[in-house]
Amino acid sequence: MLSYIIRRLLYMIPIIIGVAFLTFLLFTYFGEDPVRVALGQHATAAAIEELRNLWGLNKPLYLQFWDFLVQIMTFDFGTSFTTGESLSEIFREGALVSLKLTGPPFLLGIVINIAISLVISYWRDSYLDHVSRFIFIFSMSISYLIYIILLQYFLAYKLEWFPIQGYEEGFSGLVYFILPWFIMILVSMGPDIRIYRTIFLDQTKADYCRTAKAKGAGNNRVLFVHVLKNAMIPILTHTVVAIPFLITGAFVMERYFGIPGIGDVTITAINEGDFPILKGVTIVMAILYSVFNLITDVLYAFFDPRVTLD
Amino acid sequence: MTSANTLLDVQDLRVSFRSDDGVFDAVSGLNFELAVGKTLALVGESGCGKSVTSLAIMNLLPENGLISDGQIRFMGRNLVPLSFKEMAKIRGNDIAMIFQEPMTALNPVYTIGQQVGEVFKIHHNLSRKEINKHTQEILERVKIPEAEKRMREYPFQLSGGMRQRVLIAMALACNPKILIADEPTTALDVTIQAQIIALIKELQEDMQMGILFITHDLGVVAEIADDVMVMYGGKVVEKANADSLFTSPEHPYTQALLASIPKPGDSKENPLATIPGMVPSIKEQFGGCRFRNRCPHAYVDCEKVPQFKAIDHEHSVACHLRNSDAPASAS
Repeated sequence: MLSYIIRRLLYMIPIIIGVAFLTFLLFTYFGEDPVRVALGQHATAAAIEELRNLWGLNKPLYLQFWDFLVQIMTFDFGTSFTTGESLSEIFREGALVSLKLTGPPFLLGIVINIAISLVISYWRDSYLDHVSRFIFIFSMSISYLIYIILLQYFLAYKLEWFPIQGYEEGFSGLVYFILPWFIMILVSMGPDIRIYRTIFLDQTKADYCRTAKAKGAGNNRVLFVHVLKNAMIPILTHTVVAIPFLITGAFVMERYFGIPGIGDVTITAINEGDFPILKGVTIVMAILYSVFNLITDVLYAFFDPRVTLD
Repeated sequence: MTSANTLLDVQDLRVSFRSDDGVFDAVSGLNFELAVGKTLALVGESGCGKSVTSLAIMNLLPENGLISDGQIRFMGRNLVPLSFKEMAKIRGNDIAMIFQEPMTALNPVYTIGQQVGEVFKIHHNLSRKEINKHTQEILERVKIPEAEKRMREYPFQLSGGMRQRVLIAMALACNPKILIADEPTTALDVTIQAQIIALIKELQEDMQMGILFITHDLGVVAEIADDVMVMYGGKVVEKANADSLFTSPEHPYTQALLASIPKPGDSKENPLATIPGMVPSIKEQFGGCRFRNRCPHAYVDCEKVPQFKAIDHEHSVACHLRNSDAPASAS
């Protein structure tokens, strides 16, 4: 097990170098000149030259790439082109804000959606099942943006139940999060419940369920003891690989609700040509994604005895 | 007819299935009794209704199936009106079942010990320690070597034969009065088949359970059955004591089945006999004898439904050829 994890972590090195190389290539050859973006059109040649030296853009490319790799290895991505703040600090703060936005609806959503899909699978083909299928497919067919705009308009603007947007530190600041949390759970319900229901029903048809019933197990026991543990295997993949996106934030949600998480920081950086931030976000995303894929595989072995890691 | 020794008395059982095209009978007019310590074999091709019969007794029919007529009396009590929940107390406790696919019939994510122990957990209020003790005992009883070690293993770590033993252990954990074995040896190697049958016979002698043994393999029937019921197209066509059935099969279908058992004398020049045609689908509703389109002896009377007639006290058959005015004898 340990040797497997170590080997997988070593495999990540070429992946990260590959992502770093592509990112570097894109920003060097295809991006705008960050110095010109920063100084504007009327900058003097001397000022441009000075900033180029300061940001290390006059060094040979292989040295610039090496600097980038060193940044990745030390997790120190330098400073923002626009604000001069340390990037590590920006990421750390942004990640915490993003997690505060995405974490609670993620966890709550898993519990709610699994519970609802268990109920629906228990009474499959009933009136409840058919009505809920219609509602969830309908809800899936509507764009995320529509939910945000409509709920912001009616619940926050018209009814004034929630603030329209904003952000504050501390416990009282949570009031700004309630509406986005609600929307995120609402939007996750359709697709997640449809998938979980399919997973549960696949398992309900399995031979081992018939065996359990022949032993005298009741419906509850079959569903909660036998089906649930088997269903956890596919549900796990579905949820754990989504975690990196929680840390990097929900771009649209953060933008619409004025929440300064990583998603918001990234969109601002795109608008302002702040390349260090964009490079950093890309790499952090790649690392998180690889790590959580590894975690998924390790959890597989935990839930499914047939999977051995070696 | 019901005696004190009768465990199961099935009367006029009819099982129907709902489908998009209407309602169809998978089994109809089924009558049989199962006595203490006896084995009744239910024989027939795929789709003849033998598995449906076993699931009906267990009240485990698929959602689109139901018992539309008849009674299933277990020690005098009719099981048909019982709810799924009431029946759960009987399943695994008084009537147990083993299945055809030992590969998939066990839950892949629980250990053998957990799965066998679950039976004790459901039917008896025992402590974990007692459950483990009983589980190990029953695993030893079905001759699983190193039972204590196997208890901690998962199904995928066991061979097919071992898994079938685990299923048998699970079925016999609560000393059931009836064991329903639905093709328990079909998925196994021939040598393992023989071991499993020997084991079932041995356990039956110890525990005096009645066994309803479902199979399409007449070789297996010869080894284990006291009585045999041959089913075709959802109906019983012949019912007899095993010796009588093998020595003087009366129904043309039974004769054809016996002729299609592979024999050492079979060769390219003298190939294995087969039955032409296919088992009719339960959706094909035609009156009369359902075997008539495959029967070499069919004649005009076969358009009518044949009556079940006793030839002697332990042999009866549903075939017009047994009527006195039949044109030719089939035997």
